[in-house]
Amino acid sequence: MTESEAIQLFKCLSDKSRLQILKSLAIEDMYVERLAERLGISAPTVSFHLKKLADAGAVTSYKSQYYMMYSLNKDIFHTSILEIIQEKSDEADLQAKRDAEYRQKVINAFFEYGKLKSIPAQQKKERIVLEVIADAFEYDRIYPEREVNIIIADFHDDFCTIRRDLVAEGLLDRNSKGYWRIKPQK
Amino acid sequence: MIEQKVSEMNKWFDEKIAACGQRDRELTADDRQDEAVFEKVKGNIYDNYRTMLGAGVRIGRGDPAAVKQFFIGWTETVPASWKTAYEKAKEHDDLARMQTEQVKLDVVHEIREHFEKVWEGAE
Repeated sequence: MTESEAIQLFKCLSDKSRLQILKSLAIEDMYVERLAERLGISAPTVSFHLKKLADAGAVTSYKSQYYMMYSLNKDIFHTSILEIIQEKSDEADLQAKRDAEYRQKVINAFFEYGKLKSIPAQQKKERIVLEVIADAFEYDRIYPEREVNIIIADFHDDFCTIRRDLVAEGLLDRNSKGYWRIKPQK
Repeated sequence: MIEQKVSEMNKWFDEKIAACGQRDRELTADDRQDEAVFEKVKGNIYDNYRTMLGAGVRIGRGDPAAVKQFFIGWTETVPASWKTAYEKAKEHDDLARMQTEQVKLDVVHEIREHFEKVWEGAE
């Protein structure tokens, strides 16, 4: 179920008349007039609600003799809310594109010919800058502090601040043997 | 004479508007939003035609025949687009839209019938 389908379904369910229709259809398949009689609302109003329920995928219809019968689409109600939440967002690609554009903008603003012009004051921007610097370190290798300083100094003179911030941001880690690059969590 | 008819019509409109407002509140409280919207729509139509009747009386300068001509004319011209929308919805089997338009058309039909009944003998 896509995000927009889920929204349509939830909107559709937030109406007592429609919920009553679904409850009736959970008992057995019914036609419009039967539902109208049972629920005490007019047949056109029942048709109105059934159309919305059908559009949301909550009910299906089939022809039986002279009547159009409506039935509950049980498949859709077997989907758990957790499954719906965990579904990839329709917006995800767009958000990723926006994030990438923002990231590139920050990199362009703070780096010139590979050198860091200044350390950003804003944490979000500094994080991006630090990620670029962290890319200069290989995974699965331990660097002595001196080498770390030399690598960082290629970007900026204040290697002490940057080295400390790389550790604080969880991009590098250290112990008595030296520093190493932390693999990002998937 | 015409004042009495207008007053009767206005009283009827006021009662209809009040009843729609009441049902709207009840349906909203009962989580039946779409049906509450129908009541809002109906209330607005009664209100609009109440205003139109006042305008008809002014334009018709109190002549019952002229007022009737204006008012009946509006019960045909105003809902013309609703009828078109209804037919289009019917073509596409869009029951939800059909119902929305039908609610509006039913109100105008009711207003026209009541007006004709009240206006009888006024001319």
